[in-house]
Amino acid sequence: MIIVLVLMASLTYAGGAVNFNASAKSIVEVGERFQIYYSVNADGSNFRAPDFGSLSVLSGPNRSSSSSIQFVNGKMSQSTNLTYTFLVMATSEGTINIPPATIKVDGKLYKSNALSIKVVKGNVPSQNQNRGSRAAQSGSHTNVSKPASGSVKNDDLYIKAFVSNRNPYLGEEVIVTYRIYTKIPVSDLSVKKLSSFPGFWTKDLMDNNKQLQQTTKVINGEQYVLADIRKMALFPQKSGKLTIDPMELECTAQIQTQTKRKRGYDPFDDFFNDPFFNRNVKNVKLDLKSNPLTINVKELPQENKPASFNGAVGNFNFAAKIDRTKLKVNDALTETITISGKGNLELVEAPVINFPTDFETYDPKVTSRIRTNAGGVNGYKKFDYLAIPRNPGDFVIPSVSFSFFNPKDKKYYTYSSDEYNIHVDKGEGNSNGITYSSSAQEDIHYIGKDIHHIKTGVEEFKPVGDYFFASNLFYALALLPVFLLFLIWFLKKQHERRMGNIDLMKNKKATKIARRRLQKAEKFRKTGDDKAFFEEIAQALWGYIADKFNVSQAELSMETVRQKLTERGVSDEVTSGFVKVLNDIEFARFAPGDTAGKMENIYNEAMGAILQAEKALKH
Amino acid sequence: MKKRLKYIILLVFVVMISAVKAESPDSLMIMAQNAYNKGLYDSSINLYNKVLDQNLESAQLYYNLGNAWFKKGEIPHAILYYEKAKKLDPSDEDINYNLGVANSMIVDKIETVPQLFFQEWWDYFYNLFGANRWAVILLISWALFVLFAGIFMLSPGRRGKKAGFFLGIMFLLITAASYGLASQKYKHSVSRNEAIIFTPTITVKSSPTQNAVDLFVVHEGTKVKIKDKVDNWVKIKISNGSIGWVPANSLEEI
Repeated sequence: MIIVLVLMASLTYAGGAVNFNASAKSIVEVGERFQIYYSVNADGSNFRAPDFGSLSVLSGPNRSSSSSIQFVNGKMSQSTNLTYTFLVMATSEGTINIPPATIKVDGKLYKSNALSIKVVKGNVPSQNQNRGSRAAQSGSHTNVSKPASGSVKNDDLYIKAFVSNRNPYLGEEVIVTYRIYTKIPVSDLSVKKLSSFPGFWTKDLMDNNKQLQQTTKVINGEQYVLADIRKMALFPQKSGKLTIDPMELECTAQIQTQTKRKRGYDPFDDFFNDPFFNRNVKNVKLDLKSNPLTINVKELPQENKPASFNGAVGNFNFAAKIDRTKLKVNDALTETITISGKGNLELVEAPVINFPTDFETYDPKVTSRIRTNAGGVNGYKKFDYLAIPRNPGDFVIPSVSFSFFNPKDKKYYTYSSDEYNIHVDKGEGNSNGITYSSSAQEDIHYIGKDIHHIKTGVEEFKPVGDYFFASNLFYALALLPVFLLFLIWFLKKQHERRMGNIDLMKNKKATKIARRRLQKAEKFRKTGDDKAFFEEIAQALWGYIADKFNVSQAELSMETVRQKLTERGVSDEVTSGFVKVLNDIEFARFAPGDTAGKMENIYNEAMGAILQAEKALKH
Repeated sequence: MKKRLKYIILLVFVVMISAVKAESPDSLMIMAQNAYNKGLYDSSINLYNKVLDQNLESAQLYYNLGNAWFKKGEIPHAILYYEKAKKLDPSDEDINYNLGVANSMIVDKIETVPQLFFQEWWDYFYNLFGANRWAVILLISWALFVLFAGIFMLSPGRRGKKAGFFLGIMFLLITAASYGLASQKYKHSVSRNEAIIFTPTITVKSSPTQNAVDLFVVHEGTKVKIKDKVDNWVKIKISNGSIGWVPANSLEEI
């Protein structure tokens, strides 16, 4: 911990003494290039360069840094050196005072020293023979009229920018030419600042011919050498007023100085005074600036704009062909579209061919051949569309349209390819080569979206506002099951009652039936049919009990008879009598012997038993 | 004799008029469908409207009419008729799909307030059938309830009573639920408390006067709920819950 603190302390100590220095030559000549250094012995940031006045900055600030760590007697010291370098050029005579630059080190602002630079006139004229010969000369002496004095006037040397069309349409080719006009020899032409072309797509038309083409022309009675130094094809990408900044050039102009020689009678004087020999030529660095250009870009007309228009402006030709229309599954076919002509060809996009969805398609292969020459941009662009049908069948490749706007006659043109009918046969007969796997299955491709079709046929209508719910019919139907339930319930009760009545009737009829049976038995007794007699008597008694107490015949026994009778409050005497008669009958039925007397007896007993029981039950 | 002739002429007239007037809705529908298939959407609409003039309606009629308007590019009309069709047959796939397509083409995209799960369930059942279908279900379940109630009451055995009791309770609950759905659906169908905006752009005001504060802007095709009516102004509620007033002629009731 302590060590760290010590280290930190030593570090801050090392960074404590910040030295921020500016240095440069103090005396320079006009046109001389020299460096200005700003160095600081710490790691700084936010360097702010001062105003260099009439010095023109050629490059900079260029930052370079070095750092070293030293251990001396176990003590570490770190030093950092940071240098900002400017390359500047003196342009005019005089003294230039450069105010201090600022830099931030550890959050603190430091100022450098101010500089004072004296710019003097170049006192050592460099010889043309030494320097100029190396440079490609753009003017030759014979073509240049002699300048009047040692300085360069404005109309001796200038650049002019031309534009072929100040009111182009969006996307229409515009050619901008920068031309140098000179009366004096010029060398070392170098571009200091290129024009920027915001809002344009540009194409340099001068790439190929590096040698400048010179021509001569007489302007205002003076002969000038002209050369096109730059020629660009511009394609406006947005509408409205677009400004092109001037282009700045630097060159070395060669000015002949008239050395004042002493006029004597030296016979050689005249000879040496001859301009041919008097070739004291001075090199002067000059900045040249072209005029700015404004171009008013018009919007393309909206009327009759084809749907397939995609920004192509110029004059084009369109051709489409297909290599075959009959093929087998998994064979490839190629449709080729060629667009040729003059205009913003490089911006022409591949037209979209809507191949059938069963075709495997690839991005088109684009081959373009675009030539640039002084007249502009022309050439052709070829699109190869490769498609592989994956299923057999008959398909149609729809026609493709290509539209462009011709600014010459201000009209849109549309070319369309043919529609191709493609017949795809099944592949080679052997299916061995084809593997069916689930990965080969495809999702359904949706090509368009639309509403579902109308419903055909005629559905049943109903009057507007007529609803089944809450209608009379609805309520009626709701009440119907309840009504039915009550009806069933009622009918059941009725039925039960009727069933109850049958029992009652039986009860009432019991004595009657018993009497009738007894009468029948009497008849049998008279005829002497004893078997039938006993049968009837037994039936009369058993039947009486069954009807009276609503007991089924199967349940009948002596016991039940006794039980039923006692239940109904019949006295034991009567009950025993009844049972006794029943026993007697059973006995008599199966016992042999005198039947006639017995029959008489039993008949009377049975009659008595029934009457007694009847009497007892009535109470 | 002369009088009789007069009667005959009158009779002929009556027959003729009734022949013209009683263009049967079925044949009108077929004609309208043919016109639609040929792309004659205007005459298709006219023919469908003739059926509507006879005070008849069906989900199919509204759906086809909506399609014709859609093809004409009149999305608000299409939505109006799709909504009308949906009222009669809320579970129809075609109606719901086309309504969705039409709704995706209008300007306003109004986020609906998210619903609780039981509301979603209710809505699911609610939109399963129209009022009439629910009424039929109600009657059937009611009849079954009464049947089982009868079994419960009249069955002599214990098992029969038990089955009658539980099945009766079940159908009673179904009856109650379907009654709720049917009555709500019926009210919804009868009340006409929804509307479609027909004016391309309409500013919704804070009160039913022209110089009231502007609240928000809705565009044609948007479905709104009608909350109140004052003179020529309608109080609307859009599906995100915002409320305001618009002139009555800027919308059309579903």
